[in-house]
Formats: sequence, structure tokens, C-alpha cells
Amino acid sequence: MEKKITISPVTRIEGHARVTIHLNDDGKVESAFFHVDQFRGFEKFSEGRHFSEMPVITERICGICPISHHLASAKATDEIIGVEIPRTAKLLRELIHMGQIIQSHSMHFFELAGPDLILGWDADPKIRNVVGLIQENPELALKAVKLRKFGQRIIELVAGRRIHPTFAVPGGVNSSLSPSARDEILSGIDEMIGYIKEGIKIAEDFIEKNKELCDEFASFPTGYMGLVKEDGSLELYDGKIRFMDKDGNILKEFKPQYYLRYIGERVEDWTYLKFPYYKPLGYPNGVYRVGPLARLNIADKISTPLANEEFKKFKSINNGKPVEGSIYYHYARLIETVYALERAREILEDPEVMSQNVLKMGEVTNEEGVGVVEAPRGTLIHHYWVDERGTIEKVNLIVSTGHNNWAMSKAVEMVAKAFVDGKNLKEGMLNRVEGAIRCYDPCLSCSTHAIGKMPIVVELYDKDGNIIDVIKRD
Amino acid sequence: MGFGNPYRRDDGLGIKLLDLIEHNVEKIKVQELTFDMAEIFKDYDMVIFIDASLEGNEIVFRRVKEEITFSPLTHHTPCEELLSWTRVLYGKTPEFYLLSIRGYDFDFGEELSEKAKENLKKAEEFLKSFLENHI
Repeated sequence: MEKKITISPVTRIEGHARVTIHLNDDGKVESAFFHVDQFRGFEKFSEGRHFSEMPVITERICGICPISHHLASAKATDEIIGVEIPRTAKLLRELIHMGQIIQSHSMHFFELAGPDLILGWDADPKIRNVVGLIQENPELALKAVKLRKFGQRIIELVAGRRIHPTFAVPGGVNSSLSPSARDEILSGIDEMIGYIKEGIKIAEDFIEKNKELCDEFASFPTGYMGLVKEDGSLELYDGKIRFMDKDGNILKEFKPQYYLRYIGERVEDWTYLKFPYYKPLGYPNGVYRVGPLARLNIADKISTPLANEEFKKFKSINNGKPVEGSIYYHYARLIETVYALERAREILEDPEVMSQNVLKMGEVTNEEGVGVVEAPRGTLIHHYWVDERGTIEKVNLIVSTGHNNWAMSKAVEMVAKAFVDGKNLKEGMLNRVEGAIRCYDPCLSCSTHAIGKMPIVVELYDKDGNIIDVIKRD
Repeated sequence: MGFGNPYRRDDGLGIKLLDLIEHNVEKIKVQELTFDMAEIFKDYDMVIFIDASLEGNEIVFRRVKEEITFSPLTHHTPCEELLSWTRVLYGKTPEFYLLSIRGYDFDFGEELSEKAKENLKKAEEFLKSFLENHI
């Protein structure tokens, strides 16, 4: 008799999600899946709108990473009017993107990963939450708040609003940087780097004490994809797309505009979410991961000094080969936060950042435009098709959580096989399954455009679909 | 503080109600509540959250009590938990209230459903009366 445990939805991630764990007669895990009901509502909603509205429409997809959608969208609209935007506009867009990375990564580490890493997998559920974390280390929590606020403040100072700005427009941005804003941001960077270094110390201590777990926890070979600069270093705003295979060999590098040539999407009958793969290798050989772990795996170096020192440590984990363990996503996220802070300083110290030349106007000249950025959770692709007046005819969005869908299912299955015993359901086991997913920090608001947040339900089914046990957490 | 997504029809009820309020209060619009907002709330005596609800009565107004959640949900931080953050981190316990306005249509779009428009009107009357009596 086959039994099924359903964990629905996964806590501490966005929107609706469901995990089903299929048990055999012995109560052992036979297989497991991560289900997301993808709903392409925003794509349809956007049809018929003017392309210039897209940067402010699509940022409403998500309350956590609106800047990523705002910028990917603006880049797509740049292509539609066929202009190369002024360098200062690029710098300012990248600057708010760094703010986005700082606030999103710090929130994930301290609020979502923190309870697992600091309080432990098997901590009493009554304290294994963010409030427990505050009580355990209130100073660290205060720093987490300051770090996230700092990222938000960068966005607010540069773009005028900390969420849902109207800053990026086709051809550039709509305002230049004030000296006071530049000075305020610059004055806070060193303190924030100090905070994130404390986070790195926590992650490194966890890795040192739990090396075997980190190397085996949801660890599996895949390809990797992300943006890199021309010299192969880490890139989050611009650059070229690099595909790397499981052994660390570069498969292909290409301009983001050509993504459809290399990315296919597989449909499975058990989920609405599609499974992107690298076309030349087919499915499933071409499955890949995106996000912080993938970005550090594909990069040759990091262009800023402090982050590059941490990067070298990261690369040594697997002797220069791709790091496969999902839990290393948490570590990679922190290294990227150091990079974002250092990069923000570089931008602010660039003489051109204060220029008033921030916009290059243009008319509709191309029928389509593609915009790609590295959102906090991975590669974000916006692709628009327009008519001669600029009216949106079709939209394709590939969000980072979608790229990682296969990997999250694989991670759940591996962890479930290792830790879930259907005859003895314990909180710690289920949290490990959820924890595997949280490594990827999925944003289901982005992938499903959901609005929901709700309790967790665990259902145990027999092979005939009869519920034989239910666990609920409100 | 109104929160929700105005491109998801009735989910934008909280945002839309704020636009109707002209009292001398600070108005903040967000899509989601997040933990760092405790840093904002520590400086206020009273915070009224306005949200759309999926179920329940047309409008519901209640005092928010601090609650340590068993497993915090998503990137969204419930206002009950935000009260905990504000107290534990900053030693402040502002009065938190939640005004829930029943929504019916959460599909993509900017227009409120007809029932939601009626509920918005009731919520506006209630909130204006509340503010006049408490400010």
C-alpha cells in the first residue's frame, strides 16, 4: 500500500505551495514532489497596456522583490525603443538593484534561514521562529532590521520610494542622484558590511559544525545558469548569460536576448509549473539551478575585494568544482550581500553617478524587447511583444523560482528519503523538508502571482487516496 | 497602514481606503508586511492595519494581540508577530488594530467588485468615525 504525506502549504515562503511525500508499505519514502500552481495571470493582465507602463505594472507581481521586476521590465522597454541608455542611468538602476539584493538577502538569512541555522532543526517548535531568534540574540535581530532598512533606504533615496517606485522608465531613469543621498548611503556601508560579516560567521560556524550535513543535505548534480560580466566575474544587473554543466565546464555564453534558443520548458502532469532546461542537453539532462549558489558556481571571481575573499573560501568547498549542497545557498546569499554593499560604494564613488544625463528618449522601433536581471532568487526574464504603437501583444515572464522548480522537487525528495519516516512523523523531519525548499528562498508570489499566506496542513494518504492522518499548523 | 495589491482587484481595498482618509494621520501603503517595519512602529502610539479579507463579515475591527506564531509564514509577517518584534526589539507596545474589509474577487484587475465597493464605503464611515473619536 502506498501512502502519501502532503505538506501544504510550505511555511515561510510566498503564496500557495504543496509538498507531497509518497510512502511505501514500510513507511519509507518512495518519492516526493514540490507542487506549485502556476498561474500566468499577470502576463494576460498586461496585454493591451502600453509598453511604457510595464515597469510600474510588473513590479506589483511581488511585494518582496518589486525592484527586480521593475528593472527587468525597464530593460525590456529600452530594447523596444532601441536605445542604449546613458551610463549614469545604468549606474543608478544598478544601485537600487544592490539595495534590493541587500534587503532581500538579509531578510531571508535572518528571518527564514536563521531559525534553522541558529536555533537548530530540532529546536522546540515553540521557539523555532523569528521571535525565538530575537530572544536568543536580540542584538543580531536589531542588526538584521538595520541591514534590511539600509537596503530599503538606498531604494528610497535613489528612486524616491522604497517599494513600487516609478524610477526606471524606457530609456533610463526619471531623476538624478542628489549629493545628500549619495553621502548618506556611503556613510552607512562600512557598518552594514560589519553586520553581514557576522552573518557570514554564523553560516561558517554552522558549516564547520555540520560539514557532513551541508555536503549531503539536498546535494545533487545539476547545471547552473546566471549572468556574468565579460571577464567572467559575478554580475547581477547586466552582462551575458552563462550556462555551466555539473562538472564546472562552461557550456555556452550568450546575450540574454537569445534565451529562447537555449531555454526550453518541460510540462509535467502533476504540477502547473513548467520545468526550464538547457535545450541542447534536453530534459532532464539539461536541468539547471539559478540563484546565489548557481551564480557563485558559474562565476570565475567577484570584482570587489571583500566579497572576493569570501568567494575564494566558497570555491574551496569543492576544490573549485560546483558546490552542490542546497544549504550552501544560505552562505552564497551572504557573500553576495557583501558584494552588493561593496558594489554600491563603487557606484557612488564613480564620478559619472552625479551626472544629470539620465534619460535617452526614443520611439517604438522594435517589435519585441527582452530584459534580464539577476533577482535575489535568480535569473529573471521579461520578454514583451508590441505592435507599432507600443501596445503589449504578448508577455513571457520566467521567474527565478520557476528555474529552480526541478531542483526544489529533487531537494525535497532527497531530504524526505533521508529524514522522513512515515511511521513516526516528527516536527524536525518535516522542517527539514521545508528547510530544503527554503534554501532556494522561493517566491511563489512571483511564480504563481498568488496573494495567499496560510496555515500548514500535513495529510497522510493511502494509495487509494484515503486520508489516514492529518496534521495542521495554524 | 494599508496593505495589499491594487492590481488584484479587491486585494487593494486597504490601499484604496487610505486614499479616502483625510485626517491628520500618517498613511503608509505597502504590498506586504515585513519584520523590519517594527522599526517604524516603535515611534507610534497607535497603528491601524487595513487589509482585505477572504472571508468573514463585511468589516471587522479588532485589537491585535501579540502572538508568537508556531512557524512564521512566508516573507509576510503577520501584524500579531510584528507586535512581538516591536516589543522585544524596542521595548515599545503601540496599540495595534486591524480593520479587515471583506473582498470577493481577487483576480487580476484594478476595479473593485460591487460588493467590495459597498464594504469600502462602510469601512470608510467606520474609520472616519473612529479617528474622529480617538485623535
